[in-house]
Amino acid sequence: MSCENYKKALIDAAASGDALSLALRAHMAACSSCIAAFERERSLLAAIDGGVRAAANAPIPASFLPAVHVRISQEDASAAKRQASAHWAYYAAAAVAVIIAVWPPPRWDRDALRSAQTEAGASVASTGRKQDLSVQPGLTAERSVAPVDPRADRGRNSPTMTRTSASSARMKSDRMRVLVPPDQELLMARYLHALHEGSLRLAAGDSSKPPTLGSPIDVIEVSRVELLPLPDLGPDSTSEGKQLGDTVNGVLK
Amino acid sequence: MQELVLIQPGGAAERDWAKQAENAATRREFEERLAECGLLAFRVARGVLRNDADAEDVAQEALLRAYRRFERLRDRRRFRAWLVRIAFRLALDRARSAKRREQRETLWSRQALQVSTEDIAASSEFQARVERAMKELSPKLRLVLLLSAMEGHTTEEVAAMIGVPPGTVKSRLFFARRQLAEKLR
Repeated sequence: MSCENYKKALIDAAASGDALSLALRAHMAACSSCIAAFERERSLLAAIDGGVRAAANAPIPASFLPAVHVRISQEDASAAKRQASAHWAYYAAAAVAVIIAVWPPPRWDRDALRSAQTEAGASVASTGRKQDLSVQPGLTAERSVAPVDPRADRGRNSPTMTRTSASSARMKSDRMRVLVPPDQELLMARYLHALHEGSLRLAAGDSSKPPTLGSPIDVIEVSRVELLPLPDLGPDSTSEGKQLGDTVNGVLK
Repeated sequence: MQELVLIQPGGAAERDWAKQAENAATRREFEERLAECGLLAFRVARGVLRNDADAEDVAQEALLRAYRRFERLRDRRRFRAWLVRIAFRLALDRARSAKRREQRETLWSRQALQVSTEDIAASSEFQARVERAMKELSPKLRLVLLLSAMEGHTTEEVAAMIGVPPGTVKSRLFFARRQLAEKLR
C-alpha cells in the first residue's frame, strides 16, 4: 500500500481518536513522511477542537439569565391572573344561578295572570295563613267552576299563584281560580267536584237546609247566632257585663 | 326544589395556599436547575443558529417551556437532556424558517466579519476560520460537536442529551471533525 493510502487512514484515525491499527503502526515506524503527516493532522484537529471549544463556550450575554428570571416571573403573574379570573368567573356563575333561583316570575307573566283573574271575576287569593274561600251573594252554585287538581300545587310551601304562561292564563280566563293551602287541597277538590256534579247545591241566603253531599264530607252543624247591640257600660260595668254575658250565653244555648 | 351548594371559603383558601406553596417549591427547584443548565440552553441554540440575538430568544423560549412543563417531568435528573432537546428543536425550527434564515445569514455574516476583524487584529485568524467552517456543518453534526466541546461532556452524556446511541454520537463527531479538517487544512 502506498503512503497516500496510509495517510488517508492516518487522517481518519486522527479524526476518530481511535488507536492506530497494527499495519499503520508498522508503516509509520518505517515512514517519516507519514509520521509527519499524522502529527500535522493531529495538531490541526487539536487546533480545531480548541476553536470549537472556544466557540462553544463563548461568553454569554450577562443579561440572559436575569431576562429569563423576569420572563418566569411574568409567566407566574399571568398564571395567577388567569387563576384569579377563573375564580371570579366561577363566583359570578354561582351568583347568577342564585339570582335566577330566587328571582320572582317575570312581570309579563304576572300581568297576564292578573288580567286572567280580573276576567274571571272570582279570583280568590289566599294569604297563606287561612283559606279565604267566599261565594258572593249573586254567585250561585250553578256557575261553572273548574275542579282543581289537588296534586297541582303539591310540594309547594306556600299557596302562591301557579306560574303559568300568558297563553294558558288567557285560555283559562273563563274559569274561577281558587288557591288553597296544601293541607286543604283534598277537601277543596272534593267540594268542587261535588259542586260540579250537581250533588251539592248551594244558594246564598239559603242556610236553613244543610247541604247534602254525594261525597263523604261531614256536615258541620252550626247553631243560629243572634247578635245583640252592645249596651253602654258605666262605671259598674262589671255586674252588667256579667249579666249581659249570661244573657248571650243563654241565647247561644 | 332548588338546591344550593355552599362553598366553604376556608377550604378554598386552604387549597389556594397549598397550590401557592407547591408553585413556590416548583419554582425554587426550577431555578436551581436553571442556574445549572440555563447557559447550556443558550449555547445549544447558538450552536445551531450562530447568532446571539436569535439564540437568546430561542433559549428563553426553551426555558419558559421547560418551566411550564416542569411539573410533568417525572425524572428531574434528566432535566439537562430534556432542556437540550427542547432548545435544539426550537433552534432548528427557527433555523428552518426562511425569513428568519435570511435575517440570520445577514446578521451572521456581519458578525463573522466583525469577529474575523477582531481576530485578525488579535492574531487569531484561525478561530474565525474554525467558526466559519462550523457554520457550514449540518445542524446535527454541529450540535454533537458543540455539546462534546461544552462543559466537558462525555460521549455518553451527549448521547443521553440528544437521545441517540453513543455510537451515533461518535460517528457524527468523526464526520464533523473530518469535514472541519478538510476545510481548514
